[in-house]
Amino acid sequence: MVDDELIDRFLDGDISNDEAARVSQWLEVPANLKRFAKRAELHADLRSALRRRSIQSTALKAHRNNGLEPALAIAKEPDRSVRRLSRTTLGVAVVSLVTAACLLFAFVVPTGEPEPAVPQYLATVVSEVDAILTSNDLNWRETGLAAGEYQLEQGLLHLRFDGGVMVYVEAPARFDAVSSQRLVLHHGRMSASVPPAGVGFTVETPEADVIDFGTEFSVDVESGTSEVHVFDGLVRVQPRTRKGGEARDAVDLRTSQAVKIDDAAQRPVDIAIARDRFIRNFDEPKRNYARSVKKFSPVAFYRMPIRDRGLVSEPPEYSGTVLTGGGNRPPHARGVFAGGSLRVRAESTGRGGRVDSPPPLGTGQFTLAVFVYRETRAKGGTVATNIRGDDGSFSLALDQNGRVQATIRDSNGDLQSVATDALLPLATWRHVVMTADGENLRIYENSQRVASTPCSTMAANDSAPIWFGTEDDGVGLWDGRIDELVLFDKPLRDKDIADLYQAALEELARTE
Amino acid sequence: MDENHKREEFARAWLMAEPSVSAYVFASVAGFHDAEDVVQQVAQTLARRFDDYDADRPFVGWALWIAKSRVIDFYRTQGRNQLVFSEVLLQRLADTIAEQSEGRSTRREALEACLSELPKNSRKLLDLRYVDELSTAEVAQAIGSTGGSVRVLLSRVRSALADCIERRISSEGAS
Repeated sequence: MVDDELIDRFLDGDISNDEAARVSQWLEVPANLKRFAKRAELHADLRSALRRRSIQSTALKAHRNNGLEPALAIAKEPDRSVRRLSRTTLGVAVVSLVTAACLLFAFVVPTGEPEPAVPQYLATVVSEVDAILTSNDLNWRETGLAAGEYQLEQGLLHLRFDGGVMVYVEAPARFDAVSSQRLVLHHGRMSASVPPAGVGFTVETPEADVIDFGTEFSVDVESGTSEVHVFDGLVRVQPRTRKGGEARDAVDLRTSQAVKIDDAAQRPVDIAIARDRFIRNFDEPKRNYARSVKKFSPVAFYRMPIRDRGLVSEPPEYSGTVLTGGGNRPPHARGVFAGGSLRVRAESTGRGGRVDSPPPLGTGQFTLAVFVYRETRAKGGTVATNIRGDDGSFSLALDQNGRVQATIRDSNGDLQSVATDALLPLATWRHVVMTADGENLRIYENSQRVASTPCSTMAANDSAPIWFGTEDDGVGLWDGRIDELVLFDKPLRDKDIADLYQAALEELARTE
Repeated sequence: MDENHKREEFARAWLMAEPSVSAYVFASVAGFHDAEDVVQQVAQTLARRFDDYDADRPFVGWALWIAKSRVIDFYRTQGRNQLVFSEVLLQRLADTIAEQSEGRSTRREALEACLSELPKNSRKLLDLRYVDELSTAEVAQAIGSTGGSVRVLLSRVRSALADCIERRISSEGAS
């Protein structure tokens, strides 16, 4: 006789060969096959429902026990009980997998030894930038990730999962690698790019399962809230069941949609998509804007790519150093186009950049073009300068009123400045250009001339170090991002600046 | 149909079919991780071959047909010379699961509610098995019992849940 217990043991692979043969024979009867199929469905649904609940409850416990922002609490004093639970869960997962495989071997192939399980990486580490990755409180320096719990304490990590799924993780973050198509993000930010072969890749958060269907999306988990932003394609967000067992409906997100999920709301809440928040690629695009810039023969071009070897210049002899101090996030952020930017303050370790071997600026004429992004209303803040005491010749910064101010030292040694009337908007990329043509000092924002003052030629300088995002003494820090900074030893005309801006707009349209 | 539209069509169809595919794979592959890996492979194959799908026929049937191939592949990659189920039985199982696909989402919702009503001890037993992925022997060790009685207890809890699901569905149908 085949009862439910025997069916369960069959489904668990916990059965003898004789019993397996008995079940197979029993399944010849259609009514029995139906009963068996329903039981298998129950097993599959139990696995999915209970795992979801477990993740949610672990995260809630961590939040309650700490009584602090989870990100801070975990960074300073890990909740040992929760970490122990997770480790046990994952450790046992491996044991159980091997056990189940052995049981299955035993009943399917009566003769022959089972092959030993070979530990495998679930994901490959494609690249890392200044990353400190730990697992079980030990540094993890392998070329791949095994199943387990990880903490990215610092920097950025680029991983490749099955099917060519690319995942970018930004510190601080805590996540578990569960399988080659699934990770659990306990807190932090990550982005994924999923080609068709990677369809079904899933990110679990304490609040929801995020299932991908060939697309690009980002997830941000913090303080009992998960946000999902979809930049391309389609993603299903399945919120966890609320306390009391009230099930919540799944939501399908399409291109340019974003939601926030927490335990309080019945449904995920629509929010504005945050295109600038997430790092979604480490590579700078080789396209329009850079080509347009190069047409005007710059003396140095700082594209602010995400690299761990400093501030990269084209040409390379004018490269510099990225300066760091205290903070949580890396000194990089999503740039104006795909790729990165230099992040200064704004919760990051970034304290600007320094170029000790600057390009010569000796023609008396000058242009600086840059994209800037302000993250707070802090007044002051340097974009770029080489002025230090009586040395140096140019500066682009916010003045004490928060307006953009361009300064040059003229050939008489006097400093000449001009400032805009309007404040720079917050959380928006702005194309800012300062030019000095020997007659006027001008500022342009998004190709519009917004300030101008008569000014003679700029003093020559070929040795003063250039500082980005800071003054030479570590004050006047920018609070936001700086990208695509380019220096010319000639003035760009109104039309040149309009062409550059147009190229930027076209580039933006392509990378959005 | 452009690429984006096709992707959306696929996504919709897969979301509907996924519970049936999972049930099918869990019925034929033991071990949570192996079963889940096979489900992912099915999704990948379906996405890759979506152009071949005949929209006049039920997607779940096609998905289960692909799932059958992946299950057979899985058996082979495991180095086995014989199938857990014969190919004929695998096909009949696929047909049965396709027939039962209607009402599957209702049963899933009912399960969520039934889980919340479970006594603590029963829930703990399920967590040890499904979340911590302990074998029956390990569960027995964890709760100070024997493998035999853990098997019986687990089966009873599952049966209680199955009854609860049926009860909820029939009471909702009646109201």
